[in-house]
Amino acid sequence: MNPLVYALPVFFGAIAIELWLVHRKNKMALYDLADAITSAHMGVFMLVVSVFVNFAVYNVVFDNFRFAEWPTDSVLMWVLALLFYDFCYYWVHRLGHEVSWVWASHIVHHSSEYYNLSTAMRQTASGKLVVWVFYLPMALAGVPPKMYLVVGLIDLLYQFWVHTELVGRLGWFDRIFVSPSNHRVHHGQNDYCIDKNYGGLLIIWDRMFGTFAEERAGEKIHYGVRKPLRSYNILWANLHYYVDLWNLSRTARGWRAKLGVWTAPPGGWTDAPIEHFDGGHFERFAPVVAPAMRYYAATQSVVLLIFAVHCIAVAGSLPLAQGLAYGGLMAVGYMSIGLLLQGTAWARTLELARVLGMGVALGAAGNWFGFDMPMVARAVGVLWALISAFHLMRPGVRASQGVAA
Amino acid sequence: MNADAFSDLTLAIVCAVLGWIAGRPRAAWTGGLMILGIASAFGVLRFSEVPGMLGPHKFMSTFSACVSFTLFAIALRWPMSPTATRMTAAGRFIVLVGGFGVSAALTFAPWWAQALPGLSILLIVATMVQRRSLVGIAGALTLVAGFAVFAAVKPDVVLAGLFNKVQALHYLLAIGLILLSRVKLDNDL
Repeated sequence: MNPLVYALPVFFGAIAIELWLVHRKNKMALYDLADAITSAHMGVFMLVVSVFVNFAVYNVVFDNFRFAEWPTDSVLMWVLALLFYDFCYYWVHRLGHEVSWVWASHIVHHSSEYYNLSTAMRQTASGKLVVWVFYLPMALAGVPPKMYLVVGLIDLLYQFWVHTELVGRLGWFDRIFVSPSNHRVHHGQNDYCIDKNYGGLLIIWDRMFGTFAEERAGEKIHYGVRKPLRSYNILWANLHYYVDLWNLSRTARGWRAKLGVWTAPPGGWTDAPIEHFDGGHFERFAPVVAPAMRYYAATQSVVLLIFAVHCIAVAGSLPLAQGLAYGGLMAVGYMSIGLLLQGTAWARTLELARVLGMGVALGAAGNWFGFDMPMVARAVGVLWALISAFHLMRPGVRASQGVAA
Repeated sequence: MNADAFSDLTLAIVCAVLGWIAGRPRAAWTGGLMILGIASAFGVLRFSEVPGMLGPHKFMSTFSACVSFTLFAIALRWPMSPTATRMTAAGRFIVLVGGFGVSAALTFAPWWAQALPGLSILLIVATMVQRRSLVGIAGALTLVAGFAVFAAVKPDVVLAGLFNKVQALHYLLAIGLILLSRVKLDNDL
């Protein structure tokens, strides 16, 4: 199982602590329930998708083409491997912003207009298709796959805590390491923030390669992307930029122009300065949805998380069609909850169909994707579906649908 | 240093000198030369029997096959394009096309490392014919000859009593690249 699954309790625990601190400091504007739920959905969905995407190229290169195998019993070699990984990460991340078809994947992480620990969980589902290429130099150099996985995990886990507005400037630390201050700049859409601070663990790569920008004390950072997502639908969040590129390439004339749409930087090949961003007119995506619906969505997210963890654990060992079906069920669930949160008119119908369908399946199936269900579990499943359906039918909840696009 | 290493050294030096002369403005050309030059430098070490160099040389040769000749083709056919003129664009091309190409060649599509340079060289030949450049045609045909010799000749055959097929490939590539570097390029085709 993806080791990140084991980190989920830590992530959710840290988010809960940050929420408590935000509440205590009376800074609740730093959080939005719908946005945070969507971020968590994206993180878990990424783990579900990663079950089905597994490239063995690293191992092939390591086994057949390496210089020399790095010893794993030396602390120094582990530190060097971490630095090597972080250096590669800098370039992965930089190209993630500077090549359109890679940005189409990475844009997911930047789609939140809030900046808190939940934003760290907002990860792309298609990232695994792209990023592994950048780490092949590590395989060639002889970093063993296990070492590569561990340092990769350390690098990724480190990046979780920097997604917060609660920690201010940290002096010397900001000059060497990626810190909350440095990374806030990276997530900003203010003019000075664009294409800056790509580092994962160390900010010195940005200083070396000219992409560093310091947080400005007097300028409020507005988070998100210039063309806002304005949706809590995780499938659309993962696909919308690909669709944009597809449409652009369809209208481009000539095959070189069509190809260029995908390979050029997101703004095209130009030396002109980026268009000015006016923070004064910036409005966050905030559809009005009844509190009852928001709490319903939060509760369903928790329930779906249990299924998702099971899916991540077993989908790889199921026949492909069954595994994909389970993954698809998760996708529909997350999409449905997202649509409820944004007040889409037909979302309640979809959600009703989903919970009732799952209730029937849970009640009827003796075996749930490899798990032999005891009678009590089946009864709980049916009960959950019925309670969910009744809640969706309540007048207060029904009234909330369709109030925002 | 044996004859194989010397032929790789010759190619590496030619790549370094041509790349130095062309510089950043001819990004695709320089980028292609850089990758081919690095592969050749690994070859020098490998054939000089430096331990542990067999794998890296094979990897870099495959990587070079997946990206260098395509870059040469772009540089010669579309010399005004972003990939041909911007180091950032050429760099991305190297990482993405080279990275995915070498991954495909090493896993499910070993033919990719032959097909891509083959098609690229055919494109270079066509480009030189369209440009009506005699020196360019000579250079392109020299590259074709290099690959033809490498593909057709058995490893133990000595050509003209002088070279084996690896050495012939290296020398013909070096000559071909020198000739192609002399072509005047002032428009995209």
